[in-house]
Amino acid sequence: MSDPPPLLAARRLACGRRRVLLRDVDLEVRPGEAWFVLGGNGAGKSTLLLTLLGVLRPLAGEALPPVGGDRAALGYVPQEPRGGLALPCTVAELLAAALPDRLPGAEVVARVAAALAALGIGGLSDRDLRHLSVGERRRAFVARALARQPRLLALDEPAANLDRGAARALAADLDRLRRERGLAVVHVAHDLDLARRFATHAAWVDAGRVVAGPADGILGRADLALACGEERR
Amino acid sequence: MNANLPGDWWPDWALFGDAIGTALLLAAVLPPLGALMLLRQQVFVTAAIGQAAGGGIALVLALGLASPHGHGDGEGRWILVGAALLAAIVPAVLALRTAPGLGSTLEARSACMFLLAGAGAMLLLANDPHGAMALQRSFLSSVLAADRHDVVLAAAALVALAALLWRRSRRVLAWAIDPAAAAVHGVPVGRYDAVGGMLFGAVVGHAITSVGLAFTFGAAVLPVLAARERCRTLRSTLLAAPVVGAVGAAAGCVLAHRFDLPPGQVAVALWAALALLARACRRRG
Repeated sequence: MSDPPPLLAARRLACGRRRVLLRDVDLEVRPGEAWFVLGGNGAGKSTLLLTLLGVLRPLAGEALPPVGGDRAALGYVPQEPRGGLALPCTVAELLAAALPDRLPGAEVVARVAAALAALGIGGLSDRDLRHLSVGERRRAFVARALARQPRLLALDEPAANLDRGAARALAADLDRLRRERGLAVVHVAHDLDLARRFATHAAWVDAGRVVAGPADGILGRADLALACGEERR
Repeated sequence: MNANLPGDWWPDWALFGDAIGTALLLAAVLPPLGALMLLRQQVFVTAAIGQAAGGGIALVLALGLASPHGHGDGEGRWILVGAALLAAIVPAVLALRTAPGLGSTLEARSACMFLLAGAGAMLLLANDPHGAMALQRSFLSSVLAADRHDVVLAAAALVALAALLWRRSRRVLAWAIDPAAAAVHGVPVGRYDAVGGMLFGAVVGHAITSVGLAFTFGAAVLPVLAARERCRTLRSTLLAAPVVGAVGAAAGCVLAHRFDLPPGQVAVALWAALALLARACRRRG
């Protein structure tokens, strides 16, 4: 049986904002895979993700349209979600705003409720985003991506500013959803422990290059452990 | 028509109907636009665009294309309005242009635009005292200068905004709340930046020439600040803010007529008082 088509793919990709930051990137993300994109601060992890997602243009090489060009099947959680904190905005409103205008109201309500329940935050539906804790807010933004019923979920440092327990719980929930729904999940992350626990595949971004492949082959490398800060423990 | 409604409290509709109509319509259309800018964390962009519109007026006066004495006349006034619209739309489109990772610089861009346009206008009219006075008049909230054309333009803006929010409410909110995620999720953020900038620039540019800078900036921000203190949802805030704006403008016109005060400033003072009162009540509550 042949492999399912990739949901994200790069071939000899070069990416960056004004200058080439990473070059010769080759990777393919398929349904059901859990990818962790690891590397130091400023290495180009977020730039790589935005290029793979089609927001930034490749500077060379090729990035296939994500999810075959079907953006409705794509959920994204940015690194620092802004979240309309200047005005009252309930969690349900945040989720609904990410759904297409053509969806009828009943379907929107159902999708919002299902996404919140999937992350165990159904009780937050009517709460104002401004009054949530950092962890609750982060889950609300992940739920926003899930409400789109994605086949590919991309998260840019979802564990940032979370304590280790909350980060691990969120990663465990995402792993459960991946298994239940056959989602592909791409985490941009710093935490090597989380990657070792939940990754099926990994990409290590360092010094303008990306080494990508099955997690077993990538995560054991000593230089990756050093780059992710294990030397300080 | 020469009805005084009711009694001496309401200004003479035959004399002031167009001015009051323009003020009420703009006070209803500016708060939702201001709310979208607040969501985008671009609070001061209204003031910056208004200042840029003033730069357009200054340029026309400096080039002698309109007379500083003919500010209220037909043709001369429309040259000024056209210049203000053009000068507002271009920087509005630039100010609203987002790109991945540019979020934190948007307000800085507004500040630069505000200062540059303000300084530029003054430099253009440095040796033209009449022009400088005409520019100053346009910045004062001279609500009473508005005419029937202003009513039509303000009504058209209200209809356009209502249609946009009715047809594309989720996309517009996604664009305003989190443009980075909206871009990944398939919202054509660049197109929304351009359309939003053109609509915002046109409304603010027109408002500057018909009701002045203080009224324009005040209507875009203060009713939203008042509404957000009493509302629990984004939807109710977006619905309440134009009502607060229009009611405040109407009350401002009535009080200004009764006590012989400038209506624009009275409306701004009322909105500010309401925002502060709503804030104080919320803290006590």
